[in-house]
Amino acid sequence: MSGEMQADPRDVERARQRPEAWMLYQRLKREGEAAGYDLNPDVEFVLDLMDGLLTNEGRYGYGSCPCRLADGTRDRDLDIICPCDYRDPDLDEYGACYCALYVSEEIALGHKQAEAVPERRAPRAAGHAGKAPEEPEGFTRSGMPIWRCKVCGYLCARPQPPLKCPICKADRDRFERFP
Amino acid sequence: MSISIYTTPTCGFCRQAKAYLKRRGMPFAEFDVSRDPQKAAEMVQVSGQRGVPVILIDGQLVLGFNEPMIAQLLDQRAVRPPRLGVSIADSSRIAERKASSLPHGAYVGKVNPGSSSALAGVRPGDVIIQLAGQAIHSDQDVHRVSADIRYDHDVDIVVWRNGQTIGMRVRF
Repeated sequence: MSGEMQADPRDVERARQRPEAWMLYQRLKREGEAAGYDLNPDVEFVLDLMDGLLTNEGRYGYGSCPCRLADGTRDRDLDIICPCDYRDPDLDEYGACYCALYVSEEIALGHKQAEAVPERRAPRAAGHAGKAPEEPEGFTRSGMPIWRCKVCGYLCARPQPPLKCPICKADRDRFERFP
Repeated sequence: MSISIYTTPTCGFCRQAKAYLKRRGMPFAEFDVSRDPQKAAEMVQVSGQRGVPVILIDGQLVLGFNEPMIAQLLDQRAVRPPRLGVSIADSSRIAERKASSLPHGAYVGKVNPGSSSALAGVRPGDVIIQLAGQAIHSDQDVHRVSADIRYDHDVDIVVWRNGQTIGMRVRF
């Protein structure tokens, strides 16, 4: 640990006991903060979700939502790869995403408890995200399509989205056409 | 009471829901849908979604760890004992007022429509003289005995009706 700040002894212990979950947590926290997202303040709860994401990563090859039954094929699970397509609308409406990894500022500050979020994803919905619809909107004046990273919100104008998001390193298929 | 919970081992709300049921002392059957394709298909069919947890409490569907709804369903079933659905009074007091002869027991003044008693055939004017195998001498006895009645159990009731003794079975 860095010597600049006094680390919470509980965090030191967590980092020692669950190194992989802890590292993923630290990364998502850092990226979230940079992009204006808050993680659930209950660190144990979040570390369990990190274990879940790591389990799914190992099982399917991508970190699909720990609280959703994955199909097992990336195409059909694209919309539930964390952070899922439903995070932003669920944060707006309920103050938390479906698994409560991402929460509103109110919950992050402990003023409110995260509660169950109704599933907004249609049961058969799968893979509808990622495929860029060829609409006339969403081009720059010079005719270049605009792409938005669904993970961190990064915007760019180029013929195709980048292979990896330069900001948060999300894969190309996590981009959507904008607006 | 039968409780099923469909979960993934990776979901925080699933863990919370299970902990809640344990805290309430409720036994449940758990199905890990990430490992059991048959149960996974069943869950999607029943709930119309792929998000977990999905909880079934006596066939009542609860989506997600909706604690208030789970609490309500458990309270309805477990804590409040089933009701006979009758208004009763001490038969000796009624006999005095009506200047007629009634046996000792609980006089039925009113039977709630659709209640367990109504379905069993209990009528206003009956005098309950036996309930669940125990002699009933007053309305207090009914309150005492009916506190031990549980859902999904049949209870025998014996009433006096115009000089006749009639046995009935009440389903709760």
